[in-house]
Formats: sequence, C-alpha cells, structure tokens
Amino acid sequence: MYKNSFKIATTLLICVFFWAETFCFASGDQEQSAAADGPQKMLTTYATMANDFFLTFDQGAKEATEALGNEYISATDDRKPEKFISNMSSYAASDVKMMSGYSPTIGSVIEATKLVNREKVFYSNVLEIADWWTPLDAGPYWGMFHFPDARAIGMQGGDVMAEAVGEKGKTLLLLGFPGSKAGNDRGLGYKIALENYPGMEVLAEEYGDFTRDKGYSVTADWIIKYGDTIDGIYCTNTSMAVGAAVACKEAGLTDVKIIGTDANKENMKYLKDGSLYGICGIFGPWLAGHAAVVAYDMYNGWEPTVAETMMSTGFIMLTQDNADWYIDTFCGDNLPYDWKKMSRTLNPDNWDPQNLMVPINPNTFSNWEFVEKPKGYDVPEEYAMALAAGEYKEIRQLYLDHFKDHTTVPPSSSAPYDKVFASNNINDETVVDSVVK
Amino acid sequence: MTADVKEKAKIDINKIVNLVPIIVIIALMIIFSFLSPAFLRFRNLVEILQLSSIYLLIAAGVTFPILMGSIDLSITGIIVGSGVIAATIAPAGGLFTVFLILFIGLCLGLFNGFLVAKIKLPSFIVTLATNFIYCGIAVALTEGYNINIRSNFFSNISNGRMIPGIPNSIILAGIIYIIFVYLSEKTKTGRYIMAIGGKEDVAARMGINVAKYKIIAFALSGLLIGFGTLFLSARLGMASAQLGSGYIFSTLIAVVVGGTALSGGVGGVRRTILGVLIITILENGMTLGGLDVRIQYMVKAVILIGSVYLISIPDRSRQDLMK
Repeated sequence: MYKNSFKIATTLLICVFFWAETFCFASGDQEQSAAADGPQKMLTTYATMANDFFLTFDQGAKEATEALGNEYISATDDRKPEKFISNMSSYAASDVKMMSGYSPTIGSVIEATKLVNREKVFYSNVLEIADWWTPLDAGPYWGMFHFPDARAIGMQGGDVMAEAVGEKGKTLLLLGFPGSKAGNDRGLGYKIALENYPGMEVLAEEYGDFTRDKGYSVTADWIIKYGDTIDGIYCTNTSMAVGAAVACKEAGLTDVKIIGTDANKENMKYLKDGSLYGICGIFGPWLAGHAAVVAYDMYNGWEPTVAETMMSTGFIMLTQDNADWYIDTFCGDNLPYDWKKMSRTLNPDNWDPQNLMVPINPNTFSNWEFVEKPKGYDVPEEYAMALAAGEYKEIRQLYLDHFKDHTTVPPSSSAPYDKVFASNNINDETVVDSVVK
Repeated sequence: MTADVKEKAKIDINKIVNLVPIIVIIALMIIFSFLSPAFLRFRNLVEILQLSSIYLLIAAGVTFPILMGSIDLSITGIIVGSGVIAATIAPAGGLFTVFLILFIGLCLGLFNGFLVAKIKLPSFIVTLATNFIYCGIAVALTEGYNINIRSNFFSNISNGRMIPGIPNSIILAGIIYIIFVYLSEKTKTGRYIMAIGGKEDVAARMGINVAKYKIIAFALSGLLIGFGTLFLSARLGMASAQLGSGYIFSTLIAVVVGGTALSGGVGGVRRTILGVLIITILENGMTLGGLDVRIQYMVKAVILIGSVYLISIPDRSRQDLMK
C-alpha cells in the first residue's frame, strides 16, 4: 500500500516539476518585463527580530527600501549560516534582484557572495566579512562592504574606560558569540587600547552571545568571583551591557563603569539614568538602509569603483552629555535620514551619504591583520593599483565633500565626543578620521 | 464489533494515515503557490530539492536508531564534530577531507552505539551527552571561528552541476538515499533493526545479536549524518562550530512526519523522504512568505505534535513511545 502511495507521490512531484518549468518559462518573462518599471522586491537579511540592534536594523532597511519605491522583504536566520544561505538562495530563485544585510558568520560571506554572482543579484553587506575575501574576489554583483571598524571601536572603548576609572582599574570583557569577528575584534581593540595604560587590567573575558540574559548571568558569576574589585565592564554590544548593569545593580555595585556598543531606543534609557557609562553608536539602521540603497543603485546601473567596494563607516561615542541629542534625533518613530538623497542614481550630483565613509585598503585591513592568508591567496591587484593611482584619496575626499547632512555628528556641547569617527588605512598607518558639525 | 471488523477498520485508518504526508505535500504546494507566485518556479523547486538533499541524508540516518526504538540526539554534534575535525586536519578540501568527514561521522556514530549497546545506557541520555561533547570539541578546535574550505572540488560536490540546472548534491544525495533504502528493506541488517524496534526481547529470543545491530544502527546514523555534513560544508564552503543546530529539530520532525514512529518498529527510511519534503517545502514557503525564523520553528513544532498524534492513531495502545 505504502509503496503505491510512494509511486503516486513521485509521479505527482514529477508532474509538478514539469508544470512548474512550463509555468516558469510562460509567466516568468512576462513578470520580469512587467516588473521592470514597477516596484521591485528588495531583501534584507539579518539574524533575529529578538534583538534590539536588529529591530532598528530592520527599520532602517525597510524605510530605505520603501523610500526608493520598492517592496521590502526581510529574512532572519537565527544566526545559522545554512539558513542564511538558504534564505538568499530561495529569494534568488524567486527572482529577487537586490539584496543587502548582515551575515551570521564571516565564513558564510564567501558562499553568499558567490551565490549572488552566480544568480546575478546585486548585493551589499555590512559588519561581517570573511578573512581575506574581497568583493573583487567574488565578482561584480557584490558591490560594497560597510564596516564600522571593530578594532577602532574597541580601542575607543578602552580609552573611554581608562578615562572613566582614572587610568587605574580592574575590568572585565564581554565578547559576543563564538565566531563573531566583529565581537571578537571589538574585544581585541579594547585590550590593545588598555596596553597604553599600565594601571589597567582585564580580569577575565567571556562570551555573552550578544544577549541581555547571558550578559546578566556571566556578570553575576563574575561578581561572585571578583566582588567589589570590579571597576569596569566592556561589552561588545549593548544588550549584554544592559544585562551586566542589571547584575551589578542587584549586587549593590553602583560604581562599576559599563560601556557597550550599538545604541538604540531600548538601551539609551540605561545610558540616560547612569546605569551605563558609555555606548559606542555604530548607526545600525543607517548601515542597513545605506546597504539597501547601494544594492538599488547597482541594480539601476551604478558601478562602484575599486576603492568603494569596501568602506569604513562612521561611529560615535555616547555618554550622558549627548544622550538626549541621540534620543531626540534617532529614537523617534521615523529615522532622520533622507534615504533617496543617498542614492547615486537618483542624485548623481548632489548625493549625500549622511555619514562619514572612508575607503578600506584590504592589504592593510585591521580585520585581517592577525589572520594568515589562505595558501596561494593574493588580494586582487586592482586594489594596489587603485591605491597607487590615488583613487583611494580621491574617493575619501569625494565622500567627505558629499557628506553635507551632519545628522550623525553629535553636538559640540558633548566635546570631546562631538565627532563622528571612521577608521582610515589609506596610508601605511591606520588612523581615525573625524568630522565635527 | 468482531475482531475481523476491528482489524479491517484499523487497516483503513492505517491507509488514511499513510496518505497524510502526500496530501500535506500537495496541499502545501497549492497554498504556497497562491501565497507566492515564485514558489512554483523551476529554480525554486530545485532550491527546495537542494535543501532537501542535506535534510534527507541526515533524517535517513537518524531513522535507523528510531526504527529500533532508540533516538539519536547528537545530530548537531556529529555535524560540527565531523566537519570541524576533518577541516582542521585537512583544510584543503580534497578527497582526503571528504573521506575524513565521512569516517569521523561513522566513528562518532559508532561511539554512540557502543555506549548504548554495550554500556546499556538510554540512547536519549547518551546522544544528548555526546552531542555536547562533540560540539565542545568543535568549539575548542575553532575558538568559535569558521574554517573556510576554499576548494572548487569541494564546493562542486554540492554546488556543481553534472546535469545543467540541477546541483550535484541532489543527484548524489538521491543515489546515497536509494542505497540506504535498499539496505534498510532488502538486507538482513535492515530487517533485524526493524525487528528489534518491534519487540527487542522477542528479537533477542530469535537469536538476533541485539547489541551488534544497535551499534550498526547508530554507526549508519553517524555515517549518513557525515554525508549530510559533507554536502552542507560543501554548500557553505566551510566547517564551523555554529553549523547544524537547526537540523536536529527539523530532521526529527521529518522522520516522524514521514511516518516512522518514535516507539520503533513502524515506518522506514523510504518514508522519511516525504517528511523531509514537507519540512523543506514548509521552510521555503514560509521564508518566501517573510515569516520570522522563530515563527517557523513554532509552525514546525505544531506539525510535530500533530504528526505524532496522527501516527499514534492506528495503535493507540502503544504507550512506550521511546525506549
């Protein structure tokens, strides 16, 4: 009986396949041509909706997509690389031609970018990139990688922490989840910065999975072990920082300085009430929205130069001095960006990135400094050629000239944190560019 | 009601229950084709089959212990363990890497089988514990980072196309699956595993070496999960301690939805393909429908409960759901 059912099922499936193929050829072309003038579907990928950072990330991508007159689709992967690739593959198979977003692990970027080139889908991504893998390695459909420099962010966190505890103190380090390069590099940057302060010490470091509950439980364990000897906790995201703050408060440790990364509506109140000492803002919604705009521009014919394929993006330091400005500017129902104005194709002459952006030279990229090159791998020579030809300096200046809307720059009253920063490795030494209002 | 009439009624219920997976597949395809016009595109159906190919091998593997009334919960551990250990030893992605992934999968399965059959520990506890051991080894070896395998040969195992338009993983997984269906239905090993799942003490009285076949069932599970790992790693171009955590839930659902009872002795590797298709069609359709991954889990969980209920209808007297 069951074998008969099985045969019936197989026959039915084969019929569906033939029908689908006919359907595909019969209606696919019509749909494609009809859609050329109308709204297009644009996909944004990210890990999960159960996370403050990704909720506003989703908001940025959605606002940008809709401002561009297109239809927004999001796909979450729960930080599973197989689900991430499967999501992209499913949407590519259903003729979505513009994709952007975050990948759950750095390794999955390689297959994702091969996939978009195989499927001829325009793609722009943020935050995570595979070691020694550039857009030119994958092909022309991967347009731009956006990266608020994780190492520089961690180093700034280290400097701010040292200043907060009077350059002498015992601190703890909460990393993200295993495999997150951004989380690990922020932690590495923090430790590098503390090397400049002989009185500063990292007592312990632990993965907090980027979640508030794990940040809380790890900190609670640390409090049992280290008690009131803890002077500060550096967290590679702010959800964990809030968890750490709650654990410290419950234990009566009110003087522990806690610094996090990623500012959003949900966690700014903890900065405002003093539970957190500082938050590094990396403009997650802007990253998501700008990546969507890049995919849109590429779909409409814009081609990034070699120097533009990898861009370092702006970040800020938030303390109680500029918390109100951030809440008023970025935590309303709508984000303050003019998404259409970012578009190179809609505004060829007066486009405005509305954030500081500096091209990344992959040959001296901080992300890969301590990572051995794969055997036989060389960075595509176009990058060195573009650098030698002065293209990197030109592009840096171009983006500075067009950065007119200073929405992302904190007010001068919050000095010394009245600047937006971005890492710059165009010359031999990596420095930090900054812009004030 | 006489005994004959009762038996007849039971057979009819069995027929209906057996048809349920097929009806569900057809219903899902109709529903999703209305919700998303792209769903029935040839390329999307190929994508469903490519996704299915990995699920199919893993689910076919864990069907062996389940048929015996045991369970293998170390799916994630074997995926990350075999992938990461092999990629650490042989990151080049050549034939040796392929061999290592399969060999390590087999060994990890054998270890599970040894603990269950020789030490006589419950499979639920053993495989749950070894899952953590294997995952721990992978995290320790990689410190959480991925190991990228940048080899065209390796990538082509999944992503290459011997037949234009059809990824290799679909063809290769199909061949492997047919071999293991044959093994489960036409060989002594398959029949003995089924017999042990029917009534273990009766099987032992018949002279079947229960311990030996338990070890074999877990080894086959490990080997097939190894094959799944191979196609998964080749598709993603990496081994990682982060891979595979979504597979345990989905493959166990696929096995049960396909009609294999967790109590053992009912179902078979052949049936698992229907469960796999239901799960992958559902995943693909829900993804195209824009459902958050957590809501997708909820939907799958409801399907699991419904399937267990449906499968238990023909024989509600079975109380020993898992040995």
